[in-house]
Amino acid sequence: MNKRWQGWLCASLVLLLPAAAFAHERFVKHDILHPLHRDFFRRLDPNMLNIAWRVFALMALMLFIWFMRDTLDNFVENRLLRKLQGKPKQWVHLLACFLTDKPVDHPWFKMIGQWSVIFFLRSLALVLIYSATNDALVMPSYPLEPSTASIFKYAQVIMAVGIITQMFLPFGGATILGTFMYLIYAYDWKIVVDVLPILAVTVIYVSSPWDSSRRAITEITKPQMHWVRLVLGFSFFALGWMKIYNHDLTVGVADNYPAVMEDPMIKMFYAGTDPFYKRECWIMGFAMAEVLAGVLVLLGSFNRLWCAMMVYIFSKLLLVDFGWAEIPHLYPISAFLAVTFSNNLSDEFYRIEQMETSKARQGKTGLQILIALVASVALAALAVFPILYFLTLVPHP
Amino acid sequence: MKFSNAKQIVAMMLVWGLTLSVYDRLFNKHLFAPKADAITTFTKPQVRMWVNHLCCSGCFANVNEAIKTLPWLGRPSVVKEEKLLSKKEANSTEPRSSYGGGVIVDLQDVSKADFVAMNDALRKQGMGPGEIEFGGIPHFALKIEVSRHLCCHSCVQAVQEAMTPKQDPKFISTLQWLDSARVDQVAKTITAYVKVGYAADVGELMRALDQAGFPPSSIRIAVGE
Repeated sequence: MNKRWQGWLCASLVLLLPAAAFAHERFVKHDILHPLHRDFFRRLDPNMLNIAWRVFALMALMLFIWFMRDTLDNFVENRLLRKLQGKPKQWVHLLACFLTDKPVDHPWFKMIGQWSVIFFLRSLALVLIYSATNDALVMPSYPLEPSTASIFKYAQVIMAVGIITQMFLPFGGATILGTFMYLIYAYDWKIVVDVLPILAVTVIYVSSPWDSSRRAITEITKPQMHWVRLVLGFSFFALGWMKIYNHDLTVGVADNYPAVMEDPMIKMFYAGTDPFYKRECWIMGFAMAEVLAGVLVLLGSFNRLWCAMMVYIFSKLLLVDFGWAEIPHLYPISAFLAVTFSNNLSDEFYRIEQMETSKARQGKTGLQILIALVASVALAALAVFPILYFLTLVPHP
Repeated sequence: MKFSNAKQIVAMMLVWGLTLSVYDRLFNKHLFAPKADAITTFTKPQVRMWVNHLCCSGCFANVNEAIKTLPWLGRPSVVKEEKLLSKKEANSTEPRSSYGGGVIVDLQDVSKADFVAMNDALRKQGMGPGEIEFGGIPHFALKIEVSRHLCCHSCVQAVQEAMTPKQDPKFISTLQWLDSARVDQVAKTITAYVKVGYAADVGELMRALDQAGFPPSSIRIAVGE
């Protein structure tokens, strides 16, 4: 994708910024069953800060390790495990490449990667058809009014047919962007944030050739993957913060499905906090976990690791926690699979890595570590605390 | 291979998005195009009642007495088409097919409005409003308190069922003016979102809740919700 193209895409995305919303909350099934301590979200509660500090620390640690990955990889492969030979050495190298987002040169990996791309490019059609059969637009969060439902349902079917047959993909991508524009116009902006992830596949569609149906698209190029990663990362970053902003909706899910509160990955973030604020802390832990994943994918740090984790989480939600109602999550599963098994990954730290490499070459390891430390702490702090503070100042729905 | 360019994508996106929006605006009556007679009937915040028995000025005096106790309501007047008989005329008249009459009252303070209080005040004066309609605000909701009775999930489900607009006219209450409703079990309130530009049939709402077993203790107006 050339730079002029990127500029136009940015401009068109800016045009999609929400206009004044004139809709109210629909009749939702996330009924809050017990009162929330709403004052918890109006201040920087010690429990809230506790969770935020954990997320900050983990994010800074992950970023630091990311900046030092080549040095660490070199240490592990060429010093610690230098006596390893043959196949084991090859597997260690492949694992190191997988974890550090380098190209993995293995036929199975490439085959799964190609399959993931095929799945990713077509999974949105399943979501559209599912929504159409449930009298909704794009996702069940957007119920259709009976007077206009037919046309919207057929429109989704047409879009789905185009996606399945990979016909005129640029047009398909443009219709998805246009539908997104309509969703902002017709529905509450808070729930439009939910649909941000579908823009990830739109990037591929709009940058595909017109005769896409005659070509087997089995690989996502580096510029395309860059944008897919940015969109996915930003989507989950935004979704995480929305969980705190729209806390009643978030806790309503837990009230109706109490098992989700015992998830070990989320408990890790709020274990040891005041049990009086258990539900509030769960909301924080859940939201901040999503912010963490979103930021790291957005910055391109350990893409494969986080995307693989997201595949696991969404699969668990679909197969264990919520069941069939979560079937639209096949789409984000396919998106994260496509990123996990891509050999065209990149990150956003070109300048920092240049500085580090230069210091490393000069033998100034201490300075290299300092640059990595300062950058990781600064980025993590910027990602976590300003928005958290801002959310305590604004009224919540 | 031929690729699209940014101009083509933006153009297609705008055409598709505008097509959907225009179609929605023209044919979706829920959100955008208010009913014409709802606007022409109510030009300002106003309550219209059908009082089941309003045969003469004597009955109307009772209505007046009831409305006087509610400072958020203005002076009531009989609907113009209705001819209100004097007490003397009513004493000598022949039996009629209907003894009810329409009353209009302006709202002077929307924030203090409570339709249950109005209903109770009228009943205290021996008057029974059969229909109560409120309109004149383009976008509003009704906040209903149901005292203490929303104790469990079954109660919530029952209210949700009662507040669902129904297509079949055999149902006593069809609630066609209702967009959606939200039940807050914790606060014991129901928020009934009125379709934009529509008038709310408060009488129908009260009957629907009574029938479901949730008599409201207050029904207030929330502007802009």
